Amino acid sequence: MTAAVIRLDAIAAHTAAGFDAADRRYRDRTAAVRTARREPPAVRRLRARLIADADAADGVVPQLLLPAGLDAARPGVRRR
Amino acid sequence: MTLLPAAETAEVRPPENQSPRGPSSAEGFVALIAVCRELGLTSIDDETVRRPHRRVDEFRHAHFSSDALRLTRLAESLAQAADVDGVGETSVAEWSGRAGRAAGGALRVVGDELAGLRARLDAGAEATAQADAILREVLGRHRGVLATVSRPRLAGYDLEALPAALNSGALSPHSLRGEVQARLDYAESAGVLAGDAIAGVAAEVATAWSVGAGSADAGSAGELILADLQ
Repeated sequence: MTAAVIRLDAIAAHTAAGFDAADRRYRDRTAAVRTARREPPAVRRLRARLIADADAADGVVPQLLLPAGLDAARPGVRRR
Repeated sequence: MTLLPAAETAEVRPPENQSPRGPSSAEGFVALIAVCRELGLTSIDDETVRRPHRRVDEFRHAHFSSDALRLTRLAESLAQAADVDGVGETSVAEWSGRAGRAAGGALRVVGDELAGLRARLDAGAEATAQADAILREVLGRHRGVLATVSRPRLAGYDLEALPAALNSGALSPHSLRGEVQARLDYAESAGVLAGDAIAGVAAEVATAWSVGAGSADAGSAGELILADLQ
């Protein structure tokens, strides 16, 4: 085996290792992206509705509690 | 003297999507990325997608293979011819007289030169054949990567279904962008690796021929297909 053939083998090994590493990186990245995919549409719609309801309630509850003098009892309201 | 029309003498430039050797090996991927760009998933331009594959597109592996095969056959046929010549070697020692000795000396010089030439040809042909095998493997992997990244299916959706999936919220643009970028990086890595391998292998083959010739300036600079790569 000549020196040139030995060096050519080294280039082949280096290139093959580079392709293997690129394959691995690609598989890992696409797997990570797919596991991070959003939940199914039905679940997403339900979550959006719950958040909207909670926001709406946040606006309505003080109006209901204030006349009853209970506003200060709400969690998160600073006591004087 | 016949003058050619200006159109025939002007430099012929290949279309934008082609290297001087023909269409880019990345055209399928370029088409996929164009669709992704229309969907707002990337802003990368076609030329940037093609660029890492330029050296692969410019390399003519079929011609290189043909040269490697021709050299191997030439080395084999020379070896066979030398074996046949060897039959008559004993008769040279029997030549007598001044003319016989002179002829014998000349024959030995020519024989030594021929042996050196054969050794160089054997070494060069071996390196070229090895280079051919390596590049076949490398180009095969490069093609495989391009086939993977060009698949018209992203995040489990066919390309034509992507706009509806995005509009309905079934797919997140963020995750799709991640997959598109992963494909772009994968393709770029493959192009750079294959291009580097081609350049490295070509340089080694050229060195094998020039070193084999005894000195850097005495031998072939690997003129065959390699001339195009320098």
